[in-house]
Amino acid sequence: MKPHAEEQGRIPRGLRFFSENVPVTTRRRRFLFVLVWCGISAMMMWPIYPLMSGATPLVLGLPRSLAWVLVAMVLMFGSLLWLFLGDEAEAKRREARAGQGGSKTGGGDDG
Amino acid sequence: MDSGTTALVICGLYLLATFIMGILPGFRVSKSVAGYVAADRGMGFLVLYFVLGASIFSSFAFLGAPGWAYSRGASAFYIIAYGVIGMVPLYFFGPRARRLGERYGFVTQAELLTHRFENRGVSIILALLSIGAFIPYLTIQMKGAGYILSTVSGGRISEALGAAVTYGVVMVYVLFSGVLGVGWTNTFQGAFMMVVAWFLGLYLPTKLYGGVGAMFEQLAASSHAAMLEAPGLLADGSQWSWAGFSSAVLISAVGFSMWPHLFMKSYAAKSDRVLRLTVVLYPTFQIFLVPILLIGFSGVIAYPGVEPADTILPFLLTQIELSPLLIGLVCAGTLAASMSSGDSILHAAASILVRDGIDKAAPGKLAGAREQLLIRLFVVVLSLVSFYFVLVSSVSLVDLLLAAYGGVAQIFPVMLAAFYWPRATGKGAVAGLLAGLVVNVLFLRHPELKPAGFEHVHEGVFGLLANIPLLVGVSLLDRPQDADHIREFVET
Repeated sequence: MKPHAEEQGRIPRGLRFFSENVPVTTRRRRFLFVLVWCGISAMMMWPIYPLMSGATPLVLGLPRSLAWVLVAMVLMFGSLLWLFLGDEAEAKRREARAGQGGSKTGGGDDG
Repeated sequence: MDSGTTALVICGLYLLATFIMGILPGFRVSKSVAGYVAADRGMGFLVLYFVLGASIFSSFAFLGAPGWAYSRGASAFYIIAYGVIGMVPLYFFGPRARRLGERYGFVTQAELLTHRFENRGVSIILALLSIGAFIPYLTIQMKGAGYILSTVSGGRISEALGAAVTYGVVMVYVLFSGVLGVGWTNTFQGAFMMVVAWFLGLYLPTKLYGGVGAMFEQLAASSHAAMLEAPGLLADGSQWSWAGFSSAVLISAVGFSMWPHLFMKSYAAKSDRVLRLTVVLYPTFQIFLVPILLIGFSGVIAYPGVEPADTILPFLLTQIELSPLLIGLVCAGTLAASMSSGDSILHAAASILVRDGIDKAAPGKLAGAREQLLIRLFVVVLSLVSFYFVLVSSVSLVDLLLAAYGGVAQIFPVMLAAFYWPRATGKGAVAGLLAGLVVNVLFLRHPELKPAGFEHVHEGVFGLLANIPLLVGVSLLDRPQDADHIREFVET
């Protein structure tokens, strides 16, 4: 339970988003994704949403205020898909290099 | 057979089908705690997709959300807005949690945080928070189920009896099959309620106005046009503020992936890929909120003045000429929404209470078999406690649930720090969590204490403003944890 005093120097003070073996392409993709995610979040809050908050004109039969939120949903889906496919492609490349994948084994904690 | 009886028979058949679906997987799963709570960490994509989706869409989706659209208009878009962005953190946290769970045998959220921070206080706080959040949540689900059965039977079945029968079924399959019972029934129920929602959401505007576009055209041209403008209205009919809307979206989104019954499904996933794919495809489930809101909007011009607004869906069902068969199916869909959230909550609450509360308060006393027995015992106890609140409850339950939303959001910074800030310590986590929860409850109970100019801001935001500086400050003042121990978390 007690922290080791001698470890103090080894713990970084700042945030650490990736372990050392994460390739630069993955880091870039994730960083970009988080930016897009923040952008989409901002779309549905003040001060951006008020620009599109009116009832009319109707977009595909829906009020503009609702259509805007659905646009955000579609964008979120698209960017998640982009992130996922990128991660998948990279995992395949890594597997091909290493010649093995991260297969799972059954867990269990009570024997 | 009169129409009420036909609908009731359909609901009965539906309950029977759910019961069978819930019992079957119990024969497959191993007898371990990991089997009962985390499906032996082998849940595939389809089941996980429906478990996450259907757990979120509770009886609020079928009763509350149309009520919001009906009485508060565009305010209801907030429910879609926070869901769009709120599931994303699970893409990053989920796989890490899953891998650590596999390595250390975690089945709850608090176990992960307790291990990371080497502090039992975190676990006990989370156990208390979870139970405080889950009991009102479960009670509301039970009331929703009871309400529907009472309405469809024309009062022949009381609300209490309806809740007892429905949750009797839920209790038995949760007891017998654990999380796989939840998974299989949610797949069945999730698919069922999606079909019902799309059918009604398109049928009602077409029947009453000639189409969805025609309905909104008439609404926009009527005296109700203002309700279609975001951020919509408050319950009293006055305009909701942008500060209120934006902060509600923010806090709900932050808390969304932190709900313990959702987070702990990360451990049940078969692989990182399955978990990530579920998060990616979640918007395809979420879009079914759109027809749900259309149901509410369809009542605005055609049937003004329905009180309380939450009853708009059952009210519409009694007004339009729908065959008893369809009415029965719609009611079964509402039962599905209630049960598919209630089962997940019940199962999670009992697991958390035993694993994070009792196990941590008296460490080493419980072996596997006894632990599982105790979890099952608490499934029964929690069902009875929630049912007691169904019998005696008042509006304060909704208050409790609202407090819980702000409370659950307070877990987010601690979870973020657990994975991404090596310097965060147990004392920092406890200080942050406690401060966030106290401030959240304080401002919820005494909104008049909020700073001038920020009266409309969600109390959870103030909680986070107390939480984050304390988490950071106390951690920096505290001695760092062992570097090798931390490495496993930040480099998983």
